[in-house]
Amino acid sequence: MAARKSKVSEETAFLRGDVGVDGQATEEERDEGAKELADAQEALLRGRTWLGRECLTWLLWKSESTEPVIHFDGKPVTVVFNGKLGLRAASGDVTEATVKGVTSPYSKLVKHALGRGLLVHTAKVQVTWNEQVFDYALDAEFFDIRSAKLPALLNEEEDDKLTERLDLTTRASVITDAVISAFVKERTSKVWAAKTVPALVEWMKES
Amino acid sequence: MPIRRGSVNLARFRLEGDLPKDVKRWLQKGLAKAAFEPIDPKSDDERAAGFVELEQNDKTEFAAGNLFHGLHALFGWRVDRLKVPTNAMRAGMLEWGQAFEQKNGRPPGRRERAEQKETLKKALRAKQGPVTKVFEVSVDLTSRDVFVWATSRTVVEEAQGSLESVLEVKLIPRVPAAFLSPGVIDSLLPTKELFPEAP
Repeated sequence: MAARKSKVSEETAFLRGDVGVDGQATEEERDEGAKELADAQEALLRGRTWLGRECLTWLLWKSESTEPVIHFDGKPVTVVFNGKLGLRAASGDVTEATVKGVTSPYSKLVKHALGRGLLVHTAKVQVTWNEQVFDYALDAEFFDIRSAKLPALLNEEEDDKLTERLDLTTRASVITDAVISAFVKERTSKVWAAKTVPALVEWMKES
Repeated sequence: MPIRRGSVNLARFRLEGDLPKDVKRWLQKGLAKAAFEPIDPKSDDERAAGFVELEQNDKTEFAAGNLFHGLHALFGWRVDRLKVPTNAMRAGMLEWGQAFEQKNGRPPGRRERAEQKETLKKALRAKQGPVTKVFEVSVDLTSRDVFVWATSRTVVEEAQGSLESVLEVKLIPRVPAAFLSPGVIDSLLPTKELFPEAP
C-alpha cells in the first residue's frame, strides 16, 4: 500500500514538472541565504531605493552638526534623527538591522554599520522650521510621511482647524521635498564625488 | 478621521500634466467616473472600491460645497469587503449535515454538500453587512500635492491608479528619483563607496 502511494506521488511530481524522467528535481532549490540576498538586492533596486538610502544617510551625516541642513523660504531647517533607525544592505552577512534609543542614530555602532554598507532605510526625524516642530518617520523607498506629529494648532473653529492642519501637513511635505531637492542637487554635482563621499567615508570611520 | 486629528500617515504625490482651467469641475467629473458602487449581495463579489464624499461616505455627488475646503479638495477612497466568515460557514454546514443525516439516514453526498454550500453562502451574504473602510485623499489645488492618507501600499496604489485613470494625469511619488530628469536618473549608479558589492 505504502509502495503504491509512493509511486503515485512520484508520478504526480513528474506530471507537475517538479521532477524529470530521471526522478531528479528540475530546478535546484535555492538555499535560504541566497534567497534572502536576492530579496535584499531586489529591494535596493526597486524604484531606485538606493538613491533614497543615499539621501537619508547623507541627511544623517549632515544633521549631526546640528547646523541647519537647508534654508526654506529664507529660514533655516534643522533636522535631528531622534529614535528608531532602520539600516539595510544588499550584500554581506547582515542585510537588515534596527537600532533604538534617542541618540542611537549618531552612535559609533551605527557609523560602523554604515561603513559596512548598511545604509539608512527608515528613520524617525524631528524637523524644525520657523519655530514649528514636525516629528515624523521617513523611508527610503517611498518617502511617505509616517506617524507625524504636527505643531500645535492655533485655530479653534473646526473648519479653520482642518485648513490649518492641511496647511501644516503640506508644509511638512514641502520641507521634505526641499531637503530631497538639496540632496539631489549635491548628488548630481561634481561636489558629490570630490568632497561629499570622502567626507562621508571619513565620518563613518569615526567608529 | 486622521485628516482632522491624530498622527498623520500619508503617501505623497504630485500631479503632473496639463490641468484644465476649471480644475474644480474637472475633479468633480473625474471622481464621479470612479465613484463607489456598493457590493450587490446577490453577486459573488467580495470587494468594492471607489471614491466617495468625505463627510458622508455613502454619497458620490461630489457637490462643490462638500468637496472643496479652501484651496484643498478632500474626498474618500472607500473599500468595502463582504466575506462570509469561515467559522459561520463551517458551523452552518455542520448543522445542515447532521440534520440531513438524521432525515435521510445517510451523510450528504459531494454534490449535495456543494449545492448546500452555495445556498448557505448566499443566505449568509444577504444577512451580513460589508466591512467598510474609508481612506482620505487630499489635493492641494495650488501646489498640486496629492496625499493619500493610508499606510497600506495596496490601498495607496489602488487609489493612485484610479485617480490617474479618471483624471488622465500622472501622480508622481515624491521620491529622490522623481526630482531628476529621465536622462540624468538613467545615468546615475549607486555610489560605490557607500554600497560595497552593490548589484
